[in-house]
Amino acid sequence: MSGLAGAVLFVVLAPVAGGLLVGADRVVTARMQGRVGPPLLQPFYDVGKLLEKEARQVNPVAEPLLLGHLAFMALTGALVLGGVDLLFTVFVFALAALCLVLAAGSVASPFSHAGAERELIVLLATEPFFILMLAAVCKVTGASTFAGVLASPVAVAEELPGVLLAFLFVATVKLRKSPFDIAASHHPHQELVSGLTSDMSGRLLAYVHLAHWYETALLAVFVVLFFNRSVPLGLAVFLLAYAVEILVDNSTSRAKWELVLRSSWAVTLLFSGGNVLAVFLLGR
Amino acid sequence: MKRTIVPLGPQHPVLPEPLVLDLVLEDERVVDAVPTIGYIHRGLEAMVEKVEYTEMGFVAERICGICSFMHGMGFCASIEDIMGVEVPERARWLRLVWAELSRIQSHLLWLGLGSDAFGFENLFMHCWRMREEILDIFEATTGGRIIFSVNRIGGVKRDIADSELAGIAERLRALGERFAEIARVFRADPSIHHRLAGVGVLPAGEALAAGAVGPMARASGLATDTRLLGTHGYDRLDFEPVVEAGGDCLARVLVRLREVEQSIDLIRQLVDRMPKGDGQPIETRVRGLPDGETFMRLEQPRGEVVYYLKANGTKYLERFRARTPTFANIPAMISLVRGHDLADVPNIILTIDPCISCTER
Amino acid sequence: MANPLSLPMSRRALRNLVARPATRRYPAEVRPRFPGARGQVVFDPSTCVFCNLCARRCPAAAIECSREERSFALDQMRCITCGVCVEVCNKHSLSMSPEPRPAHAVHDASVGGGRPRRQEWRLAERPAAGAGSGA
Repeated sequence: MSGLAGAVLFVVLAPVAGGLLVGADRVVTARMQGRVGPPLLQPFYDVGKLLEKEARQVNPVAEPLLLGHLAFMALTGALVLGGVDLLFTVFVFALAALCLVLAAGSVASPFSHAGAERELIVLLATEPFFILMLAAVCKVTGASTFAGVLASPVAVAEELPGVLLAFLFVATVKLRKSPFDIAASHHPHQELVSGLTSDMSGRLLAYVHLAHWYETALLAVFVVLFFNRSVPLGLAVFLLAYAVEILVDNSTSRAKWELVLRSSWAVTLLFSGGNVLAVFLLGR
Repeated sequence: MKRTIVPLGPQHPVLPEPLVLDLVLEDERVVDAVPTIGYIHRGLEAMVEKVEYTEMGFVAERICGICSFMHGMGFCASIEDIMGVEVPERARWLRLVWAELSRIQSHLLWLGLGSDAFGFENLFMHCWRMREEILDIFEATTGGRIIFSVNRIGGVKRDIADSELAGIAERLRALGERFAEIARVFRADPSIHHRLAGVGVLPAGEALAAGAVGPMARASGLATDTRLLGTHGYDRLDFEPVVEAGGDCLARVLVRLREVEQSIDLIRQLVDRMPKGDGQPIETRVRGLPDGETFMRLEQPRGEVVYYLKANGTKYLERFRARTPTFANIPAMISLVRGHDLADVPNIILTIDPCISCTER
Repeated sequence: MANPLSLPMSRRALRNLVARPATRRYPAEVRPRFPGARGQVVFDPSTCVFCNLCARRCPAAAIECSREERSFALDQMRCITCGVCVEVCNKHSLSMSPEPRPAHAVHDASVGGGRPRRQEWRLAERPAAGAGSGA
């Protein structure tokens, strides 16, 4: 598969896969709560409706920023599959998240502001891990691109089990799942109304949803990096992990931001730091 | 440090009713909270001048959708007190059954709202699911799910057959088993403890000084429960007030968990001890017009409610006042909010179980 | 404190996956009414003598009744279904149906009033018993 084809494929297919996954999430969540729940395609209906609705813009700068959020999120996946250096893509990923923070901060609402500040905390909690993770993957495989990692004879998951574990933990934060949905959540968010999306409506909110679908698909691509010997196995592990996330989401309350920050850093340092240290010390 | 003001309310997902708290924040820490009320004042108390005392009970019921039975019961009991009406035995027992059912449904509703406040959606769904069963019992016995219109001066409108009462006791026993599972989650879940333990601590002395009532006071170690006075027939039941020593949000949750269990037990006692036999009188015919005044105290799910009624010998009362429990608990709540994180504010507000409709009437 | 990895709710959540949901697809699937439910007040004009008792006792002033004009009007939007009118009616012209009133998106259809749920009966002369008219 050439890089360009992979990139185009990601941009086209990721929202479909991500949307379906979110739809399945909503069905499973409803059943776990003893509800009938929405149909599988509900997220697509929602986004379709949001795109139709009038968008009330509190600040005209929000729309370009949110479009940027969506575009950079799609670009991150495209760059990863397109064969760009993995470490470079982390920064595009961070840029995408930053656009969302800026868009939420561009309005005067205190709830959006608090949500934006908490999203910054989430970035602070997760970004160091992503850099460490991709650096470790590049180190053990000796490759620096997605295709290179897949072609590598080293089974990454065997070399970096601690990093994989930490990744599954950090994914809870990125997927906005309870207990780590401090900045915004899929469920009604009690402290911040709707967190950083409080003042987004219509197509602006649709961009956020679409970007979240891309982000979900991107996390799947990251899991595949660990299971570079078998892509289907990687996707299966991702789906399994997502199912566990749904269960945890339905079995915990929302944590406070200090705990999110502390536990993310603790897990990043202990599991992935320890793992990376072990790889370096023991050599390969 | 720069301060921001977050207007919590009047419309906010955490608030079931319109209350405004202007939270003055430094970062995410609350330095001050300024409450504003008055969004849901309907002038219900003043309606005694326009509505005949015989129909005023329906208005009193509509003070609040959760404590509706207790408000109706309190109003009717007050008028009966003024007029010296002896309520039939059966009606007194039936009122207690409905009153305790109201307490169960109110606490289940609250436990759901409380879990939603700390972001535990699944627990919220399960609490409300159990509440629906209590509402079903209400609809089958009174005809309404929220507003029962079953109290009347001199007694109650509907009887519950003995067989039906036994069925209710049995349904509650089964409900109690399912409730035990949910109660275990509240007691054992580490993420709930993370959010509630040690948050919003109200020491016993401060609770007393601020005049806290109901579960709020009992969670701070004060054994105050108006039911202990033995009025309204509570003297015929065996129970101890539920008291927790912690004084924090967790203790307030635990008090209500145990009160649900207590109320299920009380209804079992009521059904066991009630004089058997269908067709007993449930209503005393009331003649004449009330003249005089009275105070009446009742233990609502949220705490002690005080009614004051003054009649002047006409069919319209002169004065009707209700001092509702939330009104007594708001000062303590405001003092608790200061110094906490924004994330703790919903928990603190909700653990007093605010009923703004009651407060403003 | 308990083990931070213990999730007491997870067992319930997993069991719910295989159990039947507690909710139903509401407008398509309606729960049967309880027999004693107070749904709405139903008026039977054939037996009414327009004594005005119900209108006087109604706490919500939802009933207008006139002996002279032989008319009866019930405003379902004002009615609080307390059942007082049903109890006081000597002729049993009023009854309580367990079927709830249909939901309406609009309370007051026109600016100047004209409630959509106001039901009126005007009887020129007293009909024979059982022959309902008006509405």
